[in-house]
Amino acid sequence: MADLGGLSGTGTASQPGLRGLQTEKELKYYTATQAQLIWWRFKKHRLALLGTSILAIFLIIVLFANFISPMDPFTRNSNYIFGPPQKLHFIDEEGTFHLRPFVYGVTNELDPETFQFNTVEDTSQAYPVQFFIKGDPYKLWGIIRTDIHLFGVEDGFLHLLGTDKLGRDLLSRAFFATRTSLTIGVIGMLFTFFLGLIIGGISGFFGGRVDDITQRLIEFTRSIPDLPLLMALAASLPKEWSPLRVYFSITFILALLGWTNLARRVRSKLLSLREADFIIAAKIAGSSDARIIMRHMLPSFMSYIIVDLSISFPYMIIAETSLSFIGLGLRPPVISWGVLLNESQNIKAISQHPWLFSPVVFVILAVLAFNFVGDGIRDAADPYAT
Amino acid sequence: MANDERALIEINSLKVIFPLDEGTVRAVEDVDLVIKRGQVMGVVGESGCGKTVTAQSIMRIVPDPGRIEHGEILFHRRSPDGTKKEIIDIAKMDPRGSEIRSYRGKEVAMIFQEPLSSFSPLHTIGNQIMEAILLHQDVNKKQAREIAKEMLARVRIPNPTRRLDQYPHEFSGGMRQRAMIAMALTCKPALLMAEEPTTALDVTIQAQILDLMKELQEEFGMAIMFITHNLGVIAQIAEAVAIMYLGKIVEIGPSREIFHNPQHPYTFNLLKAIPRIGKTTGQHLVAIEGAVPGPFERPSGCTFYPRCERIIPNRCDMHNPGVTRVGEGHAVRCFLYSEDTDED
Amino acid sequence: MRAFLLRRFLIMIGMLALLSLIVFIILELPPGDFAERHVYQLKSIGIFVTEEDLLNYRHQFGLDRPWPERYLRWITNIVTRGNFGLSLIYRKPVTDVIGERLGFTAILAISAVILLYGLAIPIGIYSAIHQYSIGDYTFTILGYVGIAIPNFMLALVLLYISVTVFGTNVGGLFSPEYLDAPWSWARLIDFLKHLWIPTIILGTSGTAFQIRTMRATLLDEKNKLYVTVARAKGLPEGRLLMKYPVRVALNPIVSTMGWELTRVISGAPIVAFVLALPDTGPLFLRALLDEDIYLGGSLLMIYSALTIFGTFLSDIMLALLDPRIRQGEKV
Repeated sequence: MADLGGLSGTGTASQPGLRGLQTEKELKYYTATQAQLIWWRFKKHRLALLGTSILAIFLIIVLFANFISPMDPFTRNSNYIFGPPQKLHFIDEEGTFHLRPFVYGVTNELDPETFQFNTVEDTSQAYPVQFFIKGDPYKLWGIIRTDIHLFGVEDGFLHLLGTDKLGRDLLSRAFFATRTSLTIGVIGMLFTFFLGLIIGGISGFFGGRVDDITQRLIEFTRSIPDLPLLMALAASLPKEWSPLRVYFSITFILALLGWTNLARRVRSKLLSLREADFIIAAKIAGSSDARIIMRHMLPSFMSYIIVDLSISFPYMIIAETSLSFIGLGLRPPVISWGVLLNESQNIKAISQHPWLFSPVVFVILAVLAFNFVGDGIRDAADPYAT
Repeated sequence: MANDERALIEINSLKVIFPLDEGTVRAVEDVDLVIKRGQVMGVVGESGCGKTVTAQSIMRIVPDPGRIEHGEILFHRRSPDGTKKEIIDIAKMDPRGSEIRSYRGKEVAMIFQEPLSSFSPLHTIGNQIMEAILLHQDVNKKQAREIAKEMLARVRIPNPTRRLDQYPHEFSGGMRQRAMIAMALTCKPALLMAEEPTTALDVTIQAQILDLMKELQEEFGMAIMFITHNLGVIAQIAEAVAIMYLGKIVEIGPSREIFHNPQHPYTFNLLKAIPRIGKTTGQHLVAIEGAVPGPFERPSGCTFYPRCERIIPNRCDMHNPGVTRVGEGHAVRCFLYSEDTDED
Repeated sequence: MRAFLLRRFLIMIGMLALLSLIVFIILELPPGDFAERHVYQLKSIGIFVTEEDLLNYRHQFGLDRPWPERYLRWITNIVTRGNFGLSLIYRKPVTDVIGERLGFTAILAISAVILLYGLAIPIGIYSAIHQYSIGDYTFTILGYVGIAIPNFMLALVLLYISVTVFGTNVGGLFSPEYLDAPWSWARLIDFLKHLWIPTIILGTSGTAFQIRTMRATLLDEKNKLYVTVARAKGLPEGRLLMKYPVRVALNPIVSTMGWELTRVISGAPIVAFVLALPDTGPLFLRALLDEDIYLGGSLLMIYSALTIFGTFLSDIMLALLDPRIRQGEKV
């Protein structure tokens, strides 16, 4: 009892201030829009915030790929073919610390035993990393002509992820690949969105026979192994098509198999909403079908759609990467993550030039980030979901 | 009260808390309650008042992370022939131990609001009833099945043999609740706790279930703790009533007293909020002002004061009222009747 | 039960029919027909062919008939005689090319599904019971990573590690000395030794996914009223858990078994290609890259038929597990 009294005593002392604050907080809570509520809950999800930060970095890479890349992705460095990643140094030979990191130049030495050329750091040449440095010219967003890059070195070269068989800078290529692979995801998601919305919408709004048929169609699509079908469809694209046409076709093919989740969601929501009071009220008021769907039904489950879309993103990325990896998706000169990984298809390539495999990190980070964000939105949008 | 020969369950200053991330919820506090053998005790209150948690404490099935902070729950155990008597403190038992399990379901049973979700959808009704029998009685499967069948017949489920092998979804709501009662009573418990057992049912079915419970209570001589927010149901079945508000019992007494001579302003308001047939038309149904405060913003002093019409300034909002006796077995926790506080 | 099974069976047949139509369309998609490609191939190895020969071939293969007739002929050949057509690359019937390799694919897929459930169910139960424990967090993080890494990348990483760290190549399904040897105990053991790597790779993402499903459903079921009721009967916790919530939580796991098989088979060709397994995977890839349409189309057809059949099997399992499904209730 004694501690109880103590408890209520402190309660009394701090009551007025606390109460005022609480009501203000409450007021804010009750007047918040749906989006605000979701955002507040989302902020509590730490992995989702981590995912969001990773995606923000990816967005910057997509928008400023030419500027961030130290080189043009097609520039060949004939002095550094299959070059391993260069190490960034802060401490030089004499042991002096430099705030500005630098790389050493390289020389090729013939290994007397294997008769292969090995690259060796030449410590007599140091190239400090410079920022906003002149390099390969490019046009930012196709308009601004410039040759300033975020970082690079003067005179020598800088390949932080190494180079490929033609001596092209892998880091720059990975940045450009990010642009391709992520835009494929976005466009594929748009296709998915429309397919899912239309098919699910028709199924759920009309119900009955139409619904039965669409349900079977969804079931069918889900029980076909998607990658082999994607592969077969991608393989049947004519070889002479332009890269752009292939790009859109591949994206569309990805969406062709990805719409089922969304369609199911839209359908089940519409079916339950058909009986909801506010929909019946709108019908009695004489609203048209289209108006009921767009104005009343859609907004009430928009958050679910966003969740499903954010979850379908990783699927797009993995599918595109897999297709391009085996050479059935995008093809050079287009650069995507899958196209880059295509160079490290077999064990020989990987054991000799393991750095060619490094774009994998980009893929995994992107998929993880989207999964984190998707989970965060789902938890935030649906407090009852586990 | 404690040495009453007829006492079955005796709860002394029970406190149950839920430590959550947002803060600690004091779900039940300072609860004293005695249920006598064969007595029907109604526990009434709005949702969140602690009536369910009190019942769960008696069973030691308070959901995580809730735990009994302190207090006693004494169970006066008696062997069937009435020769051996002992008092066990349930609050001290390990909720996962074997000691509590020999008591759960055997001495005390519980039925719930949702008869559909009370049964596993994947096991037959017979399987689930027989399980309760096999746990506490020394019988084989065949005998257990026979007992289960008799119980189903006893709660007036037609065609019990066939019903045993059916699944819950094949039962109607009322039938499911009958089966639930049958399952709870297979071991002839001394106390049956019923949490809103009729709320989810149609009105006609409600009456049938209430009648059945009353009948079985008289036949088996068991006590019932009837938990509900519905005073009308209580009036039909309970001998004594405890009114709970925000974790505390604010008034307790015999039904007649509570209904005809309510003392606590909250009880008073609850009674006014019951719709009655035959009232003069034009009279408004009275709702209690305000809403129950959230679990983390329990008012200091008397927990009811923010909604009370008869508040005594500087008293009700500062101090905890103590328990005052106002009649035979009738007690109330309110400053209108005494200046006693519950603080020491 | 019988009505349910009949319904699912008819749906399966319908799906197989729809599937065959889609595969047929894919076969017809690439420009040029089989006769042209055949002629092109003959020309490329130096055989002189005339325009008339082309028309003859076309007539011989029945390619001058309208498409519904061609479809019927194609599908009748498959169903009645198991004749999937000719492989252009290997210049022999598709069935001969696929042969033993299909068995490996099936063994691989089935063992991956078994491993997947063998791991996912116990881990999911553990995670749900010990929610927010270190073990739970570890499995959750592993799960995220498992879902994020595409199969083929995992295969490459494992290959890389095995070569650089252990100095052995784990690719293939046999050691070189057993590659063409007849079946024997030694060969079987060698086969099993190689089998586990692709099995793990194929099972990973599914395992991660099913752990999440099992954990979420069990967490949900664990707090349901019927569990409280059973606890109130005096049932010990362990028995309680296994008899009720775990049992109920198995339903969504079992009902998605068909999809898991689909997932495994879907990833199989690329993994098989990376690991150079002697199954149908590399064959499928080569067929697609070299436009060997009958080989590619047949394999696509076989893969899909396997998963459709798998879905049918998981429907049966679900009906056995859940009385509500059995009796045609909507759950």
